[in-house]
Amino acid sequence: MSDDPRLDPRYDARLSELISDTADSVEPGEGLTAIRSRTRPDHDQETTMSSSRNWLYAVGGAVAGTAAVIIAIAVVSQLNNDDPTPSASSSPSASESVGQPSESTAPTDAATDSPTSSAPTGTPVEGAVPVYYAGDSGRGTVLFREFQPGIGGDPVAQSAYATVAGPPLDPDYRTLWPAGTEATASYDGDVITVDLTGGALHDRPKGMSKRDAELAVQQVVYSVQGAAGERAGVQLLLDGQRTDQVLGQPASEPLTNADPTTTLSMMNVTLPEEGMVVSGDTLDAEGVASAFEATFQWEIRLGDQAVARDFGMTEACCELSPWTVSVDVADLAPGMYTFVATNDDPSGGEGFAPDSDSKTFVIE
Amino acid sequence: MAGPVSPAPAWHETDADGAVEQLYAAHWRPLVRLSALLVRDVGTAEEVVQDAFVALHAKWGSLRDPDRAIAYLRRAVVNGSRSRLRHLKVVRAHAERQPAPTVARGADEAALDTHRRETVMEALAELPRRQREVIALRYYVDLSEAEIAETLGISRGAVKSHASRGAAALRESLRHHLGDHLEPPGGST
Repeated sequence: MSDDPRLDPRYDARLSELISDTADSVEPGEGLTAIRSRTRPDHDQETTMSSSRNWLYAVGGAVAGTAAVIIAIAVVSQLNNDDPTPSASSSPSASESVGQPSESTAPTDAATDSPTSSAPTGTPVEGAVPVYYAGDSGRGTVLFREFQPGIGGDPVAQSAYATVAGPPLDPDYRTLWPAGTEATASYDGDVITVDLTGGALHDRPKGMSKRDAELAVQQVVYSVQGAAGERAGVQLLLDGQRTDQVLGQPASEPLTNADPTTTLSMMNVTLPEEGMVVSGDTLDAEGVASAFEATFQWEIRLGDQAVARDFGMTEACCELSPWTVSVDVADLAPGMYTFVATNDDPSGGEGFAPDSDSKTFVIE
Repeated sequence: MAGPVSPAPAWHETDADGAVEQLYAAHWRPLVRLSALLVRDVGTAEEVVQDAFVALHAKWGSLRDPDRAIAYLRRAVVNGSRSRLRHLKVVRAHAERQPAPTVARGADEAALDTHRRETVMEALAELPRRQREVIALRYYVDLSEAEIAETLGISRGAVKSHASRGAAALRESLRHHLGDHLEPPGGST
């Protein structure tokens, strides 16, 4: 009884196992987006509201205040749900706004209309949700990622719905899913289940290439994995039922994400967000790229004319890695501009055009 | 021309953003889990660890070393968890919150696992704060006595006594789960 319990190695090992198993059952959500939004150079140095943070703020009043906490808890309750089928009770806000999106609460509507027109509420919505859409590149169609404001429900469900139903914030992007497709999704900590509805989705529709069908499926896989913060397997269902295929693609087993180098754009602008209003002297752009020798070019265009241009560097070479560019825009007249980032072309124009991405923004 | 390929990240050349990204990749999940053991709430734990990374970002210029950065993060997480816990107690007094979200894997084994994990969370929550911190750092993070002392800013002797008292208390409160492979504790008559 007076034995020091730590002297018993079996006890020590078992206690360690119990505590570690308990800790490891906790599945945190994605946190880097929020951290980076809080560590941007202008975050605490500029007294004026930083334009580059606008996108993290509540849009249209749908989310405010303690949204970050609410989202985190929603994730937990979703993950904690033993029942792998999406259930209305597990996350009321998710089922309300994602399961049956109404005109007013669909995540993209408010944002598309006026991404930055509403006054910031003062509390960043740290639950921005990644969504993947198709876009054009010199290599053909590839997927681009954009972040949409979290609506306070389960981000996995929001992302699944947004990727199939659209619309993307960036008009250069599009969904490859047939019009009318809807989705719900949930993550049980093991497999992400995505339930697709909305018509004939079993076979590849006439007029859809095999490549587009593959990419459509990958839109969903990348989106829900991104929202879950895990490269978990993705089980597709059609109208709640297991299916051998979706859009003619095999789907009986959980799917993994396809090779990023052939699936994703190697240049992806995250900021400025499409339509963002810049009111300060600085445009802070950021994104991810996989660039030859880690170098890419960016331009700010007014109409067809470049008014500023320079090189940027990604943090690492040869795989998708983050980049940031800070541009002094104090001398630019108010108006609508385009920020374009383009990878270097090692072939000097011989091969495919290098991957590129652009965003329209407004200088006040 | 590209320089020679170096497998290890050049930490001394990494800026604060790069350091945060690299440390995030390796340590976000274990740190949230550590905090969750201390505060019993995943949402709160995520906030605590976010705060720690933001603080690290500001401090990176003076740290510039991954080992020191990780030690710094750990300290910030333990301290942050402690102050959130004070606040949470107030919140919990007003609204009876569901106990610790522990996340189950699948439907089948979930019930037993969930029950066991809730019991572990509960047992940790019942420990005095220092004992809980020492136990979490020792049995989950696997730190040595000296590392725990440094993280908490207490003496090694204090670590030893907190660890021994905490372990003894857990031996009692978790006896059903610890007893699977052992004789009952205190059974040496």
